[in-house]
Amino acid sequence: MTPDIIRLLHVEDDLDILEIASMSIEMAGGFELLQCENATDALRMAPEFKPDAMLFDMMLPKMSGVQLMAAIREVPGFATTPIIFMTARAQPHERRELIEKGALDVIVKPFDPISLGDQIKAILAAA
Amino acid sequence: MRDLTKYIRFGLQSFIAVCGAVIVWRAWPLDRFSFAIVVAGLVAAFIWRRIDKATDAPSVDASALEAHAIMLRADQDGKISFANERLLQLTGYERGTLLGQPMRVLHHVADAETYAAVDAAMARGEKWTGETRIIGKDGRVLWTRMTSVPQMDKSGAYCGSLRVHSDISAQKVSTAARDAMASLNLLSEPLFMVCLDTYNLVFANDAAAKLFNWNRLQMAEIRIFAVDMLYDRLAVQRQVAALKAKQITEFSFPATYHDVPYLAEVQLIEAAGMEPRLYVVLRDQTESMAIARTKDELVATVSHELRTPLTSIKGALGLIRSGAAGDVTKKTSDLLDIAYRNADRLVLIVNDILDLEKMAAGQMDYDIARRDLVQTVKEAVTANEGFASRFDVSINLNTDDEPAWADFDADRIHQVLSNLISNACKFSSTGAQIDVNVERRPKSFAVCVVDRGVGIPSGAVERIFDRFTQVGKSARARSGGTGLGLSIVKSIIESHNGTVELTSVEGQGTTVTVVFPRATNTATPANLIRSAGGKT
Repeated sequence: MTPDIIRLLHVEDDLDILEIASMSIEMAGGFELLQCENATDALRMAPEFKPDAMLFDMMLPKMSGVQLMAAIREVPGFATTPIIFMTARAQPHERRELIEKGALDVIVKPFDPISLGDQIKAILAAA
Repeated sequence: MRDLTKYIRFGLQSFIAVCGAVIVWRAWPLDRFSFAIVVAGLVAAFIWRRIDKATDAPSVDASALEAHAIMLRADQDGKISFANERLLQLTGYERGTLLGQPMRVLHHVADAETYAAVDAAMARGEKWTGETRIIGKDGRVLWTRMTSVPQMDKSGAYCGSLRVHSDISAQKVSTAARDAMASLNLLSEPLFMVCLDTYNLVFANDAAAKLFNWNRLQMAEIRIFAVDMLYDRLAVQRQVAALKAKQITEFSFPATYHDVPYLAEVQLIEAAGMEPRLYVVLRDQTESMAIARTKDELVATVSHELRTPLTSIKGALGLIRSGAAGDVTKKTSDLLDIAYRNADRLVLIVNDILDLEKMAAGQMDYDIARRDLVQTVKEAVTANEGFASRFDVSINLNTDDEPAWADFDADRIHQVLSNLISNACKFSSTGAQIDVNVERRPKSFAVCVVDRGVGIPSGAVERIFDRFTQVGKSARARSGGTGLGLSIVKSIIESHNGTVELTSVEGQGTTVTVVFPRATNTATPANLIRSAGGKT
């Protein structure tokens, strides 16, 4: 059951992409967005923000998206929170591996800014 | 004849000796005259015996020489005047054919310089000794050690030569075999040979013996399948069975020994007079695997580093075009369209280059499953309708709804069909129609993309699947093209065991046909995956 307003935690180290994603998601409507530039901030702020879903970049500094997923699963209350990856590394085997490791789905970069919000909603609705 | 003479002579000598003994016995005691006769007789017998020995000796030597050596004599013009039995036996010539022939009929062509040196030595009246080759009547080669002696007449003038050869072919072969074995021992890569019937070790070079700690004395007792290398034993045994059945002549398989990765290359060797052997070379893959890993990482990094800024550029342009950042004028909107289209084109180029890199490195990942080809064709047509309308071209899909089951990667085949349809759009005239036909053939399905556009000059058709080949100079034709598309199409289709054909008539249009094998099991599989946007 997808809530009316989706609380989305977005982790991305590229500031330009953060801004574009923010505008895209705002344009789509129906989201409350928190954005972080690195995994440490995400792990610190997630318990307070209590996201309904998370959108992770794959190649983050210090801690990769996959490591962040493993770390956040250890945080109480986050064992089943849907995690979507947004990555340029989306060969079929890479997509499969991410899903096997617990990701809900993968959005390929470059993403379509017009439909990004709807794409996230569709993935969450299908879960 | 010589032996008969010898026996008669021996009999005569014995008879005289007996007569002498009788005379001495009867006339005993001898007077001075008789004693002188007996002494003279003994001296004569001794001298005769010595003469016999002297004459016998050469005849024995000549017979031994005849049996062992090749002898031939040439006259002063270099024509053969004498050839012994051994020569005829080893070369296969008949005496009548050979006599009168120039000596060079027996010379190996590679020994021309050697024989020139022999001739020069003969002309100087000097003996020559060295290695030469003799060619037999059927082309067989005999390695020989030859001594050539000049023959002089009474006046001391050169009148020919006598050549005596010893056959050293066997020695040469064993030397060559020994040299070959020594060379194999010098190889840094482990190499061994295995008897195909018993799978016991026949030979191992030094590198293999060192790697597996094989004792040369016990080597013949080692069974190769007992060696504790890590590999797919069942698969290897299947391949060996195929070798035995002569279905294949060689194969290779990955193996690991003490954590070192190897590629084992196996070849069947069958030489005349030798039991069939498996020849195995182990190639250390540590370095090549490291290079492959580095390349893989590089491809991943380039992929990320190029797509990240492209994500921002495309995203920003897309948002401005959509009005998210406020209203834009018509002129600004047109310019934004150009920028957005070219950002798209850049994404395609990056994707194409990365795809080609992966294909070249054999790293292209295919998600092949049993799917309905008709469904994927429909999706590709729908996805390209927007692109076609940009060129004012319509797409006509000709297929029935009966599923066409084939094994393929939906995303990649979608990519192939999109490439062909978009090419057809670009090369069609305004208002033209493109046909996409699905044909059902006995063992395959064919998808034909037919345009009625400018076509391809006949000279360019052959290189149309090469990288960076673009035909047509018009801006319309070149828009969005990287020149890589058709080489990617070909590579993808061939990876699906399919074929791609292109026929074109300049000025009339082009047809590209991709053919997929039908799924071998026609029954609908339980785990059937119906193509849906490439998701599985």
